[in-house]
Amino acid sequence: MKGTILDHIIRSHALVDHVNPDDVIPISIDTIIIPDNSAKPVFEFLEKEYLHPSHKQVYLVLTHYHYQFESRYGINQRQIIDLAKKYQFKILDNYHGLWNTLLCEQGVIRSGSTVLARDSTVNYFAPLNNLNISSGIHDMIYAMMTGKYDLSVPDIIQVELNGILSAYVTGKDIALFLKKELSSLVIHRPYMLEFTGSILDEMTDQDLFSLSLHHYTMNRSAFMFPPLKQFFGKDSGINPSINAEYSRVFPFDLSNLTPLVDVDGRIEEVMDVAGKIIDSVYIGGHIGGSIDDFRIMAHLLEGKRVAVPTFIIPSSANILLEATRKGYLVPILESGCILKTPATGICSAINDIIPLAGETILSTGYNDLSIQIKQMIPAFYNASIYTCLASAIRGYLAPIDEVIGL
Amino acid sequence: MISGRKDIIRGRSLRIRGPVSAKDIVSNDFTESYHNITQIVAFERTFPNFAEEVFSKDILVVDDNFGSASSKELPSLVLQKLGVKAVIGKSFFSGFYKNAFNIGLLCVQANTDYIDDDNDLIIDLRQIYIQNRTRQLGIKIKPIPKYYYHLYENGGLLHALFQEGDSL
Repeated sequence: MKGTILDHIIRSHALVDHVNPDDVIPISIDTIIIPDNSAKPVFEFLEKEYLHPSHKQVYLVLTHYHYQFESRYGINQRQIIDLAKKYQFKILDNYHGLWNTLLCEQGVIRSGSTVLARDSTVNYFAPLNNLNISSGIHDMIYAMMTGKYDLSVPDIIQVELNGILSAYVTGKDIALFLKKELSSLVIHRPYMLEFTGSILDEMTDQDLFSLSLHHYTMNRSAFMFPPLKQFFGKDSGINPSINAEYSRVFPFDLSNLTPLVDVDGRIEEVMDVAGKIIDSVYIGGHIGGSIDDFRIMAHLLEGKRVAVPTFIIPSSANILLEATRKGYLVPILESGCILKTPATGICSAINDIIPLAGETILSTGYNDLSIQIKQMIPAFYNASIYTCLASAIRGYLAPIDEVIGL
Repeated sequence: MISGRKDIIRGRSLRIRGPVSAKDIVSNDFTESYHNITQIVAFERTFPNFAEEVFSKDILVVDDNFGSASSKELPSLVLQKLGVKAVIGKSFFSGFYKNAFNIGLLCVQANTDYIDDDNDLIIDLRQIYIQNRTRQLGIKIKPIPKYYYHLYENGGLLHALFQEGDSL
């Protein structure tokens, strides 16, 4: 793994000269993030042991609706907020949007830094060229007290993405492609995927974040990206060395990639499964809720009507404000779409509108919503914003070509 | 120096074959039930009488990538609360493995093809092998990395922290 991005980050956070897979190395942690639904046992432990964390960059992120909270987690959010204030944690309020988006908007996560969070979506920050670690509560408390995390050094696998993307092929499609190609990868030791290749520079910010979130669907392997021109310019941040050593390399040419859809866990080309009836569409949250997505929605929905209930979830209040200022909301709302609060992810939006048995949902989200909403979704498809919009307009699974120029 | 944890663990095997994810151990209904851990029904969908079985068979024996797809420690906590002394598996999901040792639950890697349900087992961490007394077999185990062994013998990450300060 010599010369990989992870190698550089570990060595700068552990002050060691050599790092090998399977080593357990204490690394310093720059930022700790605790979601509210995991906060109670953390605070209980701190209170019971009379501990006061020394770490200065601990964020409590409020992510859940108040009305559900106490029955689910055995404490109410007011109590959690009070405890967070007592321990001088920084608080991110769910009324302002998804915590991932808020941290990005505030510039909290830096290139080359280490982030420990009690949430699988911590990998959202991978495009920011840093090390994201999803951990249990004991590791979080340990990091709060010592500033360190004992990292089992993973194997580093290179995923090289080259070629020229066709029109309307997005980061979501790339994520679904990689899910199909890599989900059967079985390695009996921890591993991380480091991405390289010319495609990365073609992708938008939102595309990159979409891809990073799909680590969830690829054996929950962690991702790492080089400094991307979208965020840092090519020359800043942590780059792999020219002779970086990877344990395996997966090169892909994506020039022939076409839009894909995840149909209940099966990855299909949209063209091959077009025509399947859709009951409702959810666009936004982590994937599909950026200002760039609002621009796409406004453009494609102008002068058209959606054929099925279509819910739009901005991923932060700032994005909603910007979309309003830029005039994106009018064509979206005139098309019949329903705007949801920016404070939620798609899972919370669906919580409001319990799907009926037998319904088929199409979403830009990734495919584990049934866990998030604590109930099985009868049929859950997910695809890019283009496929979702085309399908919302048609009322069935449709390729974008069907609605362009209508 | 052993400080309270046993290097020799004896018990009967509770054999679960095939892939087991974190969701299989703690289903969606309980994924955030830290405040109510005793109410969690382990293996609710795939092995509903697990709690009764583990009462007399307290060494869990599994196959590959046990506890996959979650970084939460609830699955390991629940197993420990139910009295599981150790988990023997061909391999473990890294998140489960770390969380288990973080709470002092022993995970041992070995070829579990040689262990059936309700076998009489002795795990010998000093000699690095498992004695299957029922089948009269000795099974090699993969040595536990020093770091994790340290957590085990100290009863978990936070116990180790309090006992030794920041010297881990």
